[in-house]
Amino acid sequence: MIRLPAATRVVFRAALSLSLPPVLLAAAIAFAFADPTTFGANAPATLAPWLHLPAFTAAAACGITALQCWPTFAQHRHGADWVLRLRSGPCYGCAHAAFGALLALAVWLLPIGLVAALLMPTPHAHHALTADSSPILDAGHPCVTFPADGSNYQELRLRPFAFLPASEPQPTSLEVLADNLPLSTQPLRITGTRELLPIHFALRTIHTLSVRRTTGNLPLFFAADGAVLIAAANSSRILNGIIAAYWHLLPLAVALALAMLCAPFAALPVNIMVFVTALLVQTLGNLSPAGEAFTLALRGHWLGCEPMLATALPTFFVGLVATLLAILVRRRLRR
Amino acid sequence: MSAAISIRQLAVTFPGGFQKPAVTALHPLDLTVERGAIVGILGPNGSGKTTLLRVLAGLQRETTGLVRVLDLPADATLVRQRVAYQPEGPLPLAVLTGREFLQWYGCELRLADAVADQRAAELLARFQLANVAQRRVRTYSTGMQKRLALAAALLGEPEVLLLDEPTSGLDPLGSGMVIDVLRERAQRGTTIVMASHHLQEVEQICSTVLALHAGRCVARGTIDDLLGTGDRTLTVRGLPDSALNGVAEDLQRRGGELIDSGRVRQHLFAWFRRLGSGPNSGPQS
Repeated sequence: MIRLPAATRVVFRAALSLSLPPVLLAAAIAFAFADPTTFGANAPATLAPWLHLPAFTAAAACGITALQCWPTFAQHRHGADWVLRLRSGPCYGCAHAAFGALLALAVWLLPIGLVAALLMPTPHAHHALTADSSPILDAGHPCVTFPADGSNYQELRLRPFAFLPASEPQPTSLEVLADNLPLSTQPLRITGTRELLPIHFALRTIHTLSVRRTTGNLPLFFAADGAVLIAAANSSRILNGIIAAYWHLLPLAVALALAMLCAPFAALPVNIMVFVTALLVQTLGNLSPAGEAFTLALRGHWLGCEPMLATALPTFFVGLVATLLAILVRRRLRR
Repeated sequence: MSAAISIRQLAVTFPGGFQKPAVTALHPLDLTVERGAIVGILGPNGSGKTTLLRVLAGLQRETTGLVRVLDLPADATLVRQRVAYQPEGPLPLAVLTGREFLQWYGCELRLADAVADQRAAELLARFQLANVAQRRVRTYSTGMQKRLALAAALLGEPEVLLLDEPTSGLDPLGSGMVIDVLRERAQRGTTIVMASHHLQEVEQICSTVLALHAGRCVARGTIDDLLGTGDRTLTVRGLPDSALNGVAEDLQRRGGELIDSGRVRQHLFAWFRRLGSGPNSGPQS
C-alpha cells in the first residue's frame, strides 16, 4: 500500500475538514439556482457557471487551507523552524502539502462531478473535420471535401463563417454528400455567418464528406469547428461529469505552484492573495480547460475525445515553470 | 569522548538591503559543551541567543567560524535527527490534535509508527497532556503548547537538546515539571543548551552559563564560578532572638562580620507548588 508523506496526509485531512462548510454552502447555492428545467439551446451557457461555483469554492478552500496549514508556504511563519529543520526536500514540504490539497479537491470533485452528470445529456464524441484542401466555398471553389475516420455517425453540424459577396447577397444552398451519397433530402441553406445547421441522418459510416454549393453567392469559410460529425455511440454520462469536474485540479495546481514560488518572499496574507488571484484569473479568463469542460459536457460533447489536453498545455507549462523556479529559488535561499 | 558542541570563532552577520544596514548578531565566539552538560545562555533581548541556537540547529548559516555538533557540521542530515530544537513561539500545524502533532513529528523524524505512538503516549502522560491529547493544538493554552513542544523535541530521544525559552509562558508548576524532565534527560546523558530569561531556573539546573550582550560573550563559566564569592553562610534555627544576639557578638569577637540578619522565609515557588497540589494542602498562615 502506498504511504503518503506526512505533510500530504496532514494537509489532506485539514483541507477536507476545513473546506466542508464553504463547499456545502456553494453547492447548495449552485443547485438552488441551476434550474435543469431551462435545459434548452442556451442552457449550457447558463448552467455551467453554477456548476463551476462549488468546484471553484472547493479549490479555493483546499488551497487556502494548504497555505495556512503548512508553515513554509509563506515567509516568517510561526513554527516554520520545526519544518525547516527536518525537511530536506527543495521546497520544505510545500509540494507535499500542495499534493494534499489536490487530493482533498479530488475527493470533493467526485460528488460534484456525479451531481453535475445528472444535469448533462448523454455525451457523444464530436469530431471536428478539417478540409483536405482550401476550406473556402465560393464561386472559385464550389466543393470542400473533408476526410473522416470511417466511424459510425448520426449527425453533422455545419457552422461556417459567411462573408459578404461583391454582388447582392443570396443565401447559399448546400448539398452534402457522404461517400458520394446525399446525406439529407432536406434543403440546406446558410443565410448568415456562424449559423448552426444541424443535419440528422440514419446511422452510417462516413469516410469522406463533401459540401457542394448549389445556389447563392455567400462565400463560406469552414474554420476548425465549421464541420463537426457526431458519433452514434453513447458515452458514459457519469464519466463525462467526472472528467469535467476533474479538470478543476489544474488551476489549483498552477495557483499552488505560483504560491510556492512566492513563499520565500511573501507573508501569508500576500501569498493567499497571490493564490486566489491566480485561481480567479485562470477560471474567469478561461485559461484552463476547467472553464470550458462543463459547458462542453452540457452541450453533449464526450470530453474523452476533446482536444482539451492540448489547450491545457500552456497552463500546465506555467505551473511546471513556477514549480521549477520555486525549487531553484529555495535552493539558492537555503539556510 | 569528544565534546557535544564545539564552536570556534563563530560570527553571524545578517546582510543589509535597501535602507537596511547589515546587522552583526554574533561576534566571534568560542564555546565547547561537553556531553551531558546543561548550558544556559543568558542575555537581554537581541543579544544573539536565538541566533546561536539556530546556528547549532543548522537553520542559520554562520558567516565565519566553525561549528561542529556531535562531530559533524550543524546542518548535516544525521545531526538534524540526533539534535532536537525547540524554537520559541507557537507550534505549527495547530489544526492537529496534540497526539496527531506528535505522530506527525515522529513521521518527520522517520520513526516507526509503533515507536512514535508509544513514545508519544509516554511523553503526553509525562507532561500531563494525556487528557487533552485529542484536542486540537490551537485550543491549547500557551503553557500546554510549550509542554507539547518539549514533548515533540524529546520524541526522537535526541543526544543534544536546543531549547529557546523552554519555560516562558509556563506557570511555576509547569516550569517545575519541565525542569525536572530536563534534569532527568541530562542524567541520562543528553546535552542541553537552553536560552532563557528565567535566571532562577537557569541557576537551578544549568551547570554552565554563557552570557551574551549585543552579540558578544560577556561572561561564561560554571554557576559557582560566576556567582560564588568564597564566603560561607550560617543559617540558624531554634534559637531565641536573645541567644542569636549573643551568637552575633561572639562572631564579631572572633573577627567575623555580620552581613545580614533576618527571618528565613520559604520560597514562593514551594508555597505555589503546595497551593496547586490539592484543596486540603493549601498554604497555612
